[in-house]
Amino acid sequence: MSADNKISILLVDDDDGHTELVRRNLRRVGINNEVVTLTTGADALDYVFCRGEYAGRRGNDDLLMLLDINMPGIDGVEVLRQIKASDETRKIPVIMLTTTDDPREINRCYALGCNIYITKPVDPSAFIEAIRRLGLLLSVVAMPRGREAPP
Amino acid sequence: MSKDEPTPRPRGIFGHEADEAKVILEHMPAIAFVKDRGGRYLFVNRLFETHLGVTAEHALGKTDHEMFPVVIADGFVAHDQSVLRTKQPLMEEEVALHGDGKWHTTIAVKFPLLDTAGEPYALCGVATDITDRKEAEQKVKRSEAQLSEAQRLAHLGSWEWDMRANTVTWSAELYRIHGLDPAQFLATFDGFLDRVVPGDRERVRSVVGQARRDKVPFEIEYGITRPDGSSRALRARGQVLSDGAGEPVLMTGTAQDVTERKALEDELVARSRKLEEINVSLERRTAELAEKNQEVEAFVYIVSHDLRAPLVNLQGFARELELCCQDLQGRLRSVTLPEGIRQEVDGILNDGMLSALRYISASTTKFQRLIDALLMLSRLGRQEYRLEEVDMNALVDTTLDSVRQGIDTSGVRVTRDPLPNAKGDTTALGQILSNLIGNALKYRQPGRAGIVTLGGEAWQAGPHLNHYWVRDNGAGIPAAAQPRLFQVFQRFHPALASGEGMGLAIVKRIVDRHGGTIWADSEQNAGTTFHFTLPAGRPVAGGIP
Repeated sequence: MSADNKISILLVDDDDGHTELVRRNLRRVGINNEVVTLTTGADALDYVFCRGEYAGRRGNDDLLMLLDINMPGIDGVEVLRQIKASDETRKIPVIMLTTTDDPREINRCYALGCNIYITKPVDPSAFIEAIRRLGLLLSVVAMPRGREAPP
Repeated sequence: MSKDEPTPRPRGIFGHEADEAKVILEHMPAIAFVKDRGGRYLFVNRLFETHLGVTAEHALGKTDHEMFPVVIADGFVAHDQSVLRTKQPLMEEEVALHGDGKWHTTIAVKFPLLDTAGEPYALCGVATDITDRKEAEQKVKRSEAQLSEAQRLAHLGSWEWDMRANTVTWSAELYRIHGLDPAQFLATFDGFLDRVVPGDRERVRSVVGQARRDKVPFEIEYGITRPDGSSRALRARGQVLSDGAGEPVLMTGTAQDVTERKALEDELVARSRKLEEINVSLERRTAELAEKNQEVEAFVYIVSHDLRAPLVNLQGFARELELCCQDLQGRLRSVTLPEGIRQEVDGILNDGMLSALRYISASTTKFQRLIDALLMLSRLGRQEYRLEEVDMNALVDTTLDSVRQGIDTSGVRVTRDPLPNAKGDTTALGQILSNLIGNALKYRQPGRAGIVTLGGEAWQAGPHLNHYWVRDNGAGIPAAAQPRLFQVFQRFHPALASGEGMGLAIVKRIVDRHGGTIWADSEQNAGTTFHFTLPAGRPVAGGIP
């Protein structure tokens, strides 16, 4: 993945520790894209729908979302539902990144249209592996936009 | 006989005037006879002949004793002699075996025939057969006895109140119900009211008064007090009879002792109320259980999400620190430090920080495994089962194949007897087998060649159940630990194999959900047999040898 890949990553998670770990591990595997961190579902929706505090934003063309499920207030599943329900935002790749491996929850997220579902592994090496897959996915997502393949 | 010709008094009874008397007697619609003083028949009429089955020829000149059984003859003669002695007529009932072979009762009038001196020279008798009337009387008596018996059995008495005379008549049973002697009872309406318990008295008076005024039937329940102080519950019905002028004159009816029935009814009511209470409390318990279940679900959710979240941090940042330490070590190598200080810093990094981090890592890993095990157990309870016919032989063989390598390396000899089919969820039953077989393979007695046997049979103690077992000659389970055998997180031989101590808890859960039971016979250092029952499948063709 190249440094000039303009895709930015929107990381939504109410746990500071988790966002910090994701940032560090992303860096460690060489993903240096911009990472925007939000801690509530409401902020995440404002961000992608370019309203409220983010009224000045323009589109979501170069955005990829990492979304935690279990958040106070509007939870990740609801955020996912609204994003996938709107033509404006439907195309944003959404990766559910959560602690649960409950099959019912996984099925619910896929039914709502999430692109991939990654269980936050407690085992750090597994976590890094998950992030690697994520990086791989990022490059795949980048390809159809006609950008040069990463070196 | 001529009117103008005065006739002399007859000298003997068979004079010519007497012939007419004879004709009268002959045609009389009653039995008639004449005997001399000695009891010899001088005359018998036609009805005598037909009734007593003797001809006049046979009877004349004979005594009763010559013709009838002595007991009967004695009775006749006794009456005859009384008439002759007193010279007075006598009316008596007499019983005799008649010509039709049946006993007849007659009412006989006997009177003496007196000569001019006033002395009886013969005796005349006229008897009417009253057998039919007698039988009717007896029938009435029997009916009355039956009615009385029926009243006694039904605890149902009858009564009559003559309102003009204000007299009350009770049947024997009604006296019995009241525990009264006719002598103790003032047989008036007020006398009756005195027996009614004070609390019911006004109501009874008013209901009966109303019925009398409106001339309508009534029904009422009330309590009475017996002379011994005990009380009974009565249900009375009555109706009013009026005279030609429409004036009520008589009230008749029944009164039944319904104490026992009322007690039963009360008990029934009490019981159904109790049942209702139980039902309500059951419903409450069910609701509570459902609520508890939801709490457990919520708990599982918390375990799944909220407990894991901090674990991710613990493990992740422990890893970060570890990487930092390694980084520091690398950098230390490239700088020059006094030897003593380098050793000290190395010690802090290795023995201090890194070994501490390893403990944290190991503990969080264990924590995660425990959470995963709990989650799995809770999911087992919710998982939906597909009940089907399960060939246990095939299932055991599949399970054995999956652990073939373990069997071969451990040298355990596994044998399987033919097993009856079960009915259950194939996957879940497979989990039972793999856990039990796995345990049998893992927990061997060190230094002894392992033998594992699987068997099964129809379960005698419960219909529609099969009994299966997995027997080993392994390490056994200490007696003290056996009560905890099927609880979660129980490890009995941590030295022999690793695990979360969840296997048997899971097995029990599966067996329970299939409606079976599981238990173990175990002796330390000798071996363990796990027994479990499962719903029986179809019998295998040819049967189990």
